[in-house]
Amino acid sequence: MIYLDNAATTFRKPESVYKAVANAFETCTSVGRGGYGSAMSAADVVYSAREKVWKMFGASGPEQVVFTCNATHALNIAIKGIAKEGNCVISGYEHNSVVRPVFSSGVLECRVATGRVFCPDEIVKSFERQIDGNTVFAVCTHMSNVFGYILPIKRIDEVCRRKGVPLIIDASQSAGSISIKLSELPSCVAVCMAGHKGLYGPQGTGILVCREGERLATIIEGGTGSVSREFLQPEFMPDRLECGTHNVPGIAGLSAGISYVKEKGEGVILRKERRFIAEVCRELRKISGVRVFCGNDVFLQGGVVSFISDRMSAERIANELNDEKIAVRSGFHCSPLAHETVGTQEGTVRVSVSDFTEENEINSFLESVKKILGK
Amino acid sequence: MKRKGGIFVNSVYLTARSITYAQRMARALGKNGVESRIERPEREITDKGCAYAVVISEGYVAEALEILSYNRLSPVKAVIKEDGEYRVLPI
Repeated sequence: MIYLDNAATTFRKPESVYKAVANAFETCTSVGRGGYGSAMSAADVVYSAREKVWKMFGASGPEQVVFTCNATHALNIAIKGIAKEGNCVISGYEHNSVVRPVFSSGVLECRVATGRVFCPDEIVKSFERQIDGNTVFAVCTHMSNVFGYILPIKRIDEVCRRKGVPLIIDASQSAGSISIKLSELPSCVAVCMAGHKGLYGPQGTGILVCREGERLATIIEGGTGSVSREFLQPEFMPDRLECGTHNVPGIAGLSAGISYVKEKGEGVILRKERRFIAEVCRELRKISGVRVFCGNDVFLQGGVVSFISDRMSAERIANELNDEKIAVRSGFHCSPLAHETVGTQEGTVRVSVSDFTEENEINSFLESVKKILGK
Repeated sequence: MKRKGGIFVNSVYLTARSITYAQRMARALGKNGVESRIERPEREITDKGCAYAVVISEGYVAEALEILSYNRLSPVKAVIKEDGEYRVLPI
C-alpha cells in the first residue's frame, strides 16, 4: 500500500518506536503505583519522555507535560479547563476536536476568525477584530489538517498578548516538523498535540504542554499515586490533569519517536515533506478540472495538500485510488469549519506525507490520479 | 541516581509530592554528584497518603537541600531514620 494519509496518523514508524513499545510491554507495569522494579521502570520511561517533551516544546519543567490519549483529549482538557462565561475566538481552520469542546464548554459565544487560505494577514486581522473585552480565551491551529496551511501563530499570539487573552494552540499537524515553543509564545497557555502523527509515536498517545501557573479546571479526576488520602484532585502538575494508568508502551514509543525527530531535525523533515507537496501541487495543476489548494509562498504550507476535481467527487477519487492500493483521505477530515472558510463544502481529497514517504510513491500516486481523472 | 543496593549509614528521606517530583529531585541531585534512590516511604512519614521519597545519606543533607532549593524543588519534608526511628529535620 502507498500510504498518503499521514495527517490522520503516520503509518510507518521508526524501528526504534516498535522496539520501545515491545520493551515497555515486557518490562514495565504502572507509574506511581509502587516502588518495585517494574513500576519504577515504567516511571523512568514516562519521566524520560516528559523531559524530551519539556525541552522540545519549551515548557518550564517536565511536570508541565501531560500525557493524554490523543490530541482531542488534550484539547478537551485545555478548552474545558479554561472556559468560563464570555466569548471565545477560534480560527476558521479548526478541527472538530476544538469546535465541539468549545460548544460544550459553557462559553456564551464562539466567534470565528476567518481569512482566505494561505493569506496570513487576513486571519491576524480577523483575530484582532473578533477579540474584545469579553473574550475569555482563543484557540488556533498551527497547521490546518485539511490544507496544510501554516497559520501565523506568533502573530496571533502577539494579538492575544496585547489584548490579554490566553491562547490554546492545536499543534497536532505541525508537531515534529515545525518547531513550536511555549517559552516563545507569551500568551499561549497550552499546546495540544497528537503523539501518533509527526512525532511518530503509537496511536492512543497525545500531549498537553501547559504554562506554569495556569490552573486549569479538571475534566476527569482519579488515581494519581500521590496524596491519596485527599478526596480532591491534587493541585500540582502533572497529577492535576493526568490520572489513571498511563499508556506506558505508547509513551515509550512516543519517546522513541521524539528522539527520532530530534536526531533527524524538524527542519529536515519539513523540507522533505514540502518537496513532495510541491511536486504534487505542480503535477495536479496540470490535470484539467482539478483545483489544488497550495500557497504561493512555500513557507505557508506543510506536508498536507487538498484538491478537488470538477469531474469526480472526492469520495470517488479516493475509492478509485484505494483500488490502486493508494490510501488518501476524502471528505471533510473532521473539519467542516475549514471547508466553510475556504468554500469546499463538498469536501476534498487530502494527500499527506511523512518522513517515510518515498519519491516513487509520489510518482505512482500522480500517475494513478492522472489515469483516474483522465478517464 | 541509585535506586537499589545503596546502603546508607543513616538515611534521610526527602519526601516529594509525586513520583514526577521525586524523579526531578533525584535528577537534580545526580547532576550535582549527590547519590540518591527513589523509594515509597513508610506510612509514618507520609501524612497525605501515597508518596515517593528521594533517599540520601545523612552526610549530604545540607548540600542536597541547597541543590533542590536552587532548582525550586524543595521537598515536602526531610525525615531522618536513626536506629529505626523517624525524626523530622528542619528544612
